[in-house]
Amino acid sequence: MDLLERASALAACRLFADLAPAVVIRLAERARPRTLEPGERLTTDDDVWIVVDGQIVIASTAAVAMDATASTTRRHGGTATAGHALGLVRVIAPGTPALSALAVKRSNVVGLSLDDMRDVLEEDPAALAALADALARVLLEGTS
Amino acid sequence: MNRKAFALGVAMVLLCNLVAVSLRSYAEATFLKSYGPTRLPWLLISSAGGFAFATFAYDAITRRAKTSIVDVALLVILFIVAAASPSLLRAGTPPVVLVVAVTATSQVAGLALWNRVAASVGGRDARRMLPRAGAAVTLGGAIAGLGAAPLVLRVGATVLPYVGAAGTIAVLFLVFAQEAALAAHGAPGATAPAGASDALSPVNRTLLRALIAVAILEGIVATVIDLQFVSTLKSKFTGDSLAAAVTLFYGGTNAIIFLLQVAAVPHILVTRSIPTTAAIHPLFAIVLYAVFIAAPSFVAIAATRTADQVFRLATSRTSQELELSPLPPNPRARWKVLLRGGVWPSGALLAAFVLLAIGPPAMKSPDKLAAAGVAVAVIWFAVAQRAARRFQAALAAPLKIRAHRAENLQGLDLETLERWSALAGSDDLRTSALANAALARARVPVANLADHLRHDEPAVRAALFSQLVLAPAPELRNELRAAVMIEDDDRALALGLAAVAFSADANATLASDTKDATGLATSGARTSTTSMSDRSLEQAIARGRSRAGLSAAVESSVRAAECALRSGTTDAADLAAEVERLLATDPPFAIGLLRRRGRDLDAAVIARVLTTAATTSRAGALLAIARIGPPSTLSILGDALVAGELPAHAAIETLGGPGADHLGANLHRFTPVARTVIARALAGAPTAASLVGALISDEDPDVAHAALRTALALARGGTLLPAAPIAGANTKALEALLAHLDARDAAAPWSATARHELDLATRRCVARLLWAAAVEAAAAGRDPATLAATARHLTDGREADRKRALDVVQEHQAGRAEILAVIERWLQPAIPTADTADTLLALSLYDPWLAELGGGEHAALEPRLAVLRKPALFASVSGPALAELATHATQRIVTGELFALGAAGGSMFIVMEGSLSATRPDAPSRAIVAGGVVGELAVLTHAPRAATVAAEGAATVLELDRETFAAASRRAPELVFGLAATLAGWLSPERPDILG
Repeated sequence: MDLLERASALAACRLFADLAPAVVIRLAERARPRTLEPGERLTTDDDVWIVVDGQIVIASTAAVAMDATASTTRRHGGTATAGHALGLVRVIAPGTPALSALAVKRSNVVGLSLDDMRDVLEEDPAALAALADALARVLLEGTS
Repeated sequence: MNRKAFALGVAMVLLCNLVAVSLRSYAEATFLKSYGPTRLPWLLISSAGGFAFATFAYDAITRRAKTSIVDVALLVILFIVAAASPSLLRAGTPPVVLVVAVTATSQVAGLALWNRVAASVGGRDARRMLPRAGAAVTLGGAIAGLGAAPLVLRVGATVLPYVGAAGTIAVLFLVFAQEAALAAHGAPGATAPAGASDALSPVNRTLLRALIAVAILEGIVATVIDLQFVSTLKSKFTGDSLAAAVTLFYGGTNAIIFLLQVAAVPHILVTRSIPTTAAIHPLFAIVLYAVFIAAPSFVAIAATRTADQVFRLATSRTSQELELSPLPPNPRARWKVLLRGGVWPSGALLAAFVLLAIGPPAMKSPDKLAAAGVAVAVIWFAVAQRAARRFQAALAAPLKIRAHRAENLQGLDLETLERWSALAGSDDLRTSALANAALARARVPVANLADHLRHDEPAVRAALFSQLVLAPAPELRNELRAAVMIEDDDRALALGLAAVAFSADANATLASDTKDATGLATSGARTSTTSMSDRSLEQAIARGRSRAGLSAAVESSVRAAECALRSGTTDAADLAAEVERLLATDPPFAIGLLRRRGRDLDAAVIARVLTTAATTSRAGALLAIARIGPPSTLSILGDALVAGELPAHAAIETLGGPGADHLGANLHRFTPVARTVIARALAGAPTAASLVGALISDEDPDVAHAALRTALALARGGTLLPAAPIAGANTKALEALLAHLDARDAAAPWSATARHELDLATRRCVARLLWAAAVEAAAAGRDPATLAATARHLTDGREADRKRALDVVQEHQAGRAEILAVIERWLQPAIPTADTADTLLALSLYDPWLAELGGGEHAALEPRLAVLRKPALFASVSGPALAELATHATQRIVTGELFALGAAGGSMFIVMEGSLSATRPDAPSRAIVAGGVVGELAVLTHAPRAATVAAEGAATVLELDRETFAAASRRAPELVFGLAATLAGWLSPERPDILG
């Protein structure tokens, strides 16, 4: 994927919709594409993943699976498809547990390290405000 | 650091090496006396083979038995071997057996004891103290060598094993004492963090593989050098003089190593990166060996061997010591022994067997042998560099820092350029905007556009003409005019005409009599008096005129282009009116027109036009003011920036070189807050590097801080920043941090709030310094990402992370010892001083607000500051920004309901005293005590109140309304981050894993 393709993949995520094009391009510069074969796993330890196409199902680590909180149900079987972001809350709330997810079919994703993501957002307050606003809206809607 | 164990360990390894050198000198001298030159390779094979065998045996035994017991047993064996050597020789034992026994036991004992010294010191202390322990080892060797030579000449070489045996007894006593000290006061260098595993991570395994290769290559080179040296030595000395020469050589070598280890190595290890340190040994070996090839002599080979031995211990071993530091303690200790005692001698053994196989011809052509040695040394150098890079990666890995390789956006291939250009002309606005942003970021060389100006797709042509409007390219003017002359798409033609106007020579003008002519015919009639260039300009504009009646956009462009190109013929009032019209319809054209014809207008007229347009066509006016606004109009832009107007931000984010120069010359006309906003907005303006350069030297710390952050963003995107401001920013950041540290030392009389603010401000200074170092690294062509990420770990991380982060800084910054020294000082506790007045004065130069706070000038505000700092939301905001919030906040006493569920609200509240209770349906009520925040959701999202909040008794709160918060967050974006984090925490039970 070239820079513009990565940028388009990021821009397809609703959370990035209000970001200025220049900011999306800066994020895309730091993003790296990855193709997951069915059964292949990714984690949100250090990265945010945007799904470009395919289907990825959350399959948390054993430690998380034992966590009997309200979010446990979300952690099993939640499905991410094109335009969904995995691990984004960890950018602003680093204490959020990481998760692991499995591709159920061949999937293309674009990854951004948490550090890179925070760097770009700190560089550009307007981008940060736009993302925070979008995040707040999505959180309030309770999208899962 | 366990000082007692370290001191005892130092004495222990000093004596152990004294024993080892005495015994080795005795064994080698005996061997050389007993055998002819053809057996020399056997000396190397026996010593290397014995060492390797003993090391692997030691490793196998220590994996089954307790290491401390094995070490004692090893020393007992060494004592027996030493004491029995003369008798064994007299009884007919072959000298080669003696060489094997002595070399193996003494060297393995040295390695085992070294691990005990390393156990007594950890972290950055290891960088400083272990070279000193190494110096003690060397001193032992120097004493043994230099002391033994006169002893041998007077008493005979037989005295040496007895000296060794006596020394071994002393070492045994020291081993017991040091073990007791380690048990009593801890072993920081051998203690793994709780829960740590001995398993090697993939990055550690990669590092280890590289270190094994380095050790093998180093052993090969050392053996080749050794053979040539020993052979030359044997040809020059005989009898006891040979033994004396051997001991003197060892003594002299150790003396040099000692001096280096005391004087230079600790400094190198705490100031230079490992790639530098690890390069010293192979480079010296290569250079000196090359000298030997050019002029073979005893002096040359002796110098080569001396350098090899000196730097092996002084730099290669210390580099290896540090390169092993990312490994967990147990594998680290094990591999330290194996690399030095097993792998290195294996390399030596391999070389010795090869030399043996070659036989006498090897020694008959010393230059060819040396050339082979140099070739291997070059490979060794390359592999050592690779190992050093892998060490850097392994060091940063636990901090989750990854190197970032910036994509090369300087030279897009034509296919990509065409695709992006096509997308830039897409009807889908988002796609088009992204493509244009990508093209702007990629900074496609203008010349590359030339081939595409006649592209088949009109959308592509329009996008390319648009690029040339924003960045006029006079060198393309002929291609551009030719393309416009045949342009048949109205949108592309309108943009093409603008590009034609802006790319024309400053002196190029249209003939006034062509205004209403039919273009080509008129131009043709003028061929005798106009140049080809003028003709093509006329023809391009004529193309526009021919289509003007069919398209309003083309008509507008033709009119503006004619206005721009008819210097001196349009009256000022018409020109001003045209500018005003274009500011509303086509701001870039208005700016181009003003740039071209501005000299025909009074500055006062331009100011009036822009001021008027600021109310009627604000976006265009702000765009123009940012690029060419006279001084009297800059306040309009400044106010708009401070107010957070998006068009003002857009005006800055799209600045090009000339606009940046214009603002750079007028920065002093903006307030510090406006300059901060400008600095932040420039993160999206890669061609405005000169303005960023000016801002990073700003006297206001917040401005400089923001500008450095932006400089880093630009540097990561590949923008080259001017060198002088970067160096200046480094110096200033360093001085600012020093001023803060001096203030910390003298801050005892300060209030607790002021001291806390000082601590936070100092952290910001550390981050600023590292950002400056990162920008400098980028300017030098290195990846700045690691340094930038390290700033976060140093200022926010845990203690262990901070120390590791400091090591990462050392590995990645450009040899600036002063940066490391000042950061290390920051990590150490303050050293109290009483020099308050002077330090306040010095601090006021870099952080006037903090100096005032320290001096008690904001005492009335301190209670509010203290309360605001409690919630995570405000924890990382700069002091002045927090003070502004505190000043604008309203203090209220609440006795009943503060707000009700579902009500509209635009304020958040921070509890100063007392407590509040938040009640939501179907949820237990939540108490909010002093420092707690309520109502933040409304400020971020305009959402209705999510709970009913009331005071329990009476509570004092600080109220912050949305406007105040928004204004503060423009100055301190950390506030938005904090608010988003607070929000995420508030919603934690429903925190989703998938968003979108």
